[in-house]
Amino acid sequence: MADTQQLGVFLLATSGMAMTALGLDRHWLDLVGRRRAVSHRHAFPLRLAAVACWAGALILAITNDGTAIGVILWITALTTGAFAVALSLTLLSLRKPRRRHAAKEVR
Amino acid sequence: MSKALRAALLWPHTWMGVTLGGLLIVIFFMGSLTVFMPEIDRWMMPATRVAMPGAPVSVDAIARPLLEQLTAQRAAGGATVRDWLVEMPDARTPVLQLRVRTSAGGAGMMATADGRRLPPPGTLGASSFFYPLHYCLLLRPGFIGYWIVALAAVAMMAGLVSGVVIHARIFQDFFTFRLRAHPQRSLLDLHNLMGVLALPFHLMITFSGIVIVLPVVFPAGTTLLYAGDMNRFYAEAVGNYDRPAVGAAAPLLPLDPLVDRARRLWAAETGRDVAVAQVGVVHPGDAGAYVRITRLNDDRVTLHNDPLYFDGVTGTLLARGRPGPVVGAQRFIAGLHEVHFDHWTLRWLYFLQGLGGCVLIATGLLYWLEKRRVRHDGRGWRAVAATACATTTGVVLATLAMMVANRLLPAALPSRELAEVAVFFGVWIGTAAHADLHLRRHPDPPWRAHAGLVGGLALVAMAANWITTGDHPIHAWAEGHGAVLGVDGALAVTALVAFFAAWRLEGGRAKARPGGARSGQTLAITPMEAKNG
Repeated sequence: MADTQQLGVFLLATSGMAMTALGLDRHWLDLVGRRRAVSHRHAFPLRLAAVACWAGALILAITNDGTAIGVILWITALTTGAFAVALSLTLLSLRKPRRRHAAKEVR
Repeated sequence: MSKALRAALLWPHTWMGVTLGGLLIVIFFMGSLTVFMPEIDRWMMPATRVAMPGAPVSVDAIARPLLEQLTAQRAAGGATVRDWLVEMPDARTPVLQLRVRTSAGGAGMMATADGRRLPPPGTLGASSFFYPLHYCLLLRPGFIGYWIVALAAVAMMAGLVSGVVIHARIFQDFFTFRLRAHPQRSLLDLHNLMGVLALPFHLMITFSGIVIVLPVVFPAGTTLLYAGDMNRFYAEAVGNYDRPAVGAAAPLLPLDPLVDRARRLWAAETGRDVAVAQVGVVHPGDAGAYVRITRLNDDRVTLHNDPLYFDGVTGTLLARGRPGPVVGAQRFIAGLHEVHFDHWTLRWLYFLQGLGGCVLIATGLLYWLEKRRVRHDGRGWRAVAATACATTTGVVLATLAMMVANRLLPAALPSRELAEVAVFFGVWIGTAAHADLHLRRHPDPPWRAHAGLVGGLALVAMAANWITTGDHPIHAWAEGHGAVLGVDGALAVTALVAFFAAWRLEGGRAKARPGGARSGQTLAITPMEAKNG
């Protein structure tokens, strides 16, 4: 049970980070493509969902490990999730080399 | 933030990194190893790879005869005994550690939970070498090492804060790592990624590290109120109890009932079963004897071990060490730094983020080296390049060489533990000299040679452990030696990553050299991977 909860903390934190990444122009273009341009219509619900994920992760972490250790676990899970997302984005960008030009045009 | 502020903070960030970066990498690397100090100790002290005691160990039946034996040896010529200390076994350290202090000097030993005395380990291990190297660089006289480490930590703090200010696109580039871009670009991306994503950890670990040594490096209060007497300050701060010996002999009570009372007291307060960390007896055999019992903090963050003081002759509870609010906060922050609480996920992530700190600083150094190559291609540049090499791959090589020496030096060698230390520093100085010589003829530090050596030494250390102790993975698994499996596994991962890095560096060189372009892309990978031990 405790292990499943811990896994949940990491999954929620990572999902939140993935949604945050989608809310950024460059990664939206990387993942969704140029045809559907990014707009505030997408960005706001994405950020809201990300915050909801992180809140869920915090609650889960605190119920699992208590307040003190739970908060440490939560912050560490956010860092781990962010690294997981950054690594996935890097690997994805290696698969499709032309995407770099697309990112450059937008900037 | 304004452009002028960014420009103003860039040079302190840069020069702090160039001057103290190497030292900080060593501190971060040794700190990361310290997370797994008990496990590395089991690996380096094979005699302590024993089964975990099933039931709580009896202090009277197991520890006391051994303590009396030690006392008899030490205090043979009429010397008086000052105190006894028993470190009880716990989940990660399955042996007892006993220490006796007398007016004629101290003595210590390790023993198994069934009372078998273990031979001296012949090594300092992680607990007496890697750990002190982390917090005081082994320079204890006059607290010099503490001051140097604290200075580096304050510089690290300044580096983190200035780094955040300098970073112009912190949110837009939050997840960005352009591996295929220009080498300088990918190096800077990796530097930013490591710094920004793990910023909470880096800030926490640096700040808490400073707070731990604050009484040493910020001694105004101690000087003013305690006339510089650090021990008196500590005793009062954590609420220690002490009383002098009476001089009349009196029999010491059995200790197990006192241990039980302490555990019941803690259990009533916390509602949990709390394990005992230490049992100490001051003035044993004297009418003024008292017993100090502390708890294990495997269930909470703080390092405050809640000492209970019992009269050694009558058994009354004399005092309880209770820190004030400031010391209580300091103990909590110290606990954040040292992860003594039982949480394997967090231990691994502290370890990995600590190594991430090494990558952060190393990529910063490499970025500087790449950027200044043309402008500073002289002595100063070479010194920084050699330092960067000696403090990244060099320190990994020295650590691995010490582990190999730990397994291969004969047990009967006199001062064996010092021979291991000599191997560590010999290899470390060797890597620095090698890097410097290499740089006189080549434009790059010897990354590839070092990566290959790291891989080779990691394999040798692993094989040496299997051959000299018979604890190969199947045996270790069957015997439940998780610590040995873990260290061997980390060595295997180190070897794999190091060989991969060496192979990539070779490929990168073959591709990049003819066209004149430099193979910085592989450079960006090396320090990260070589640090993985």
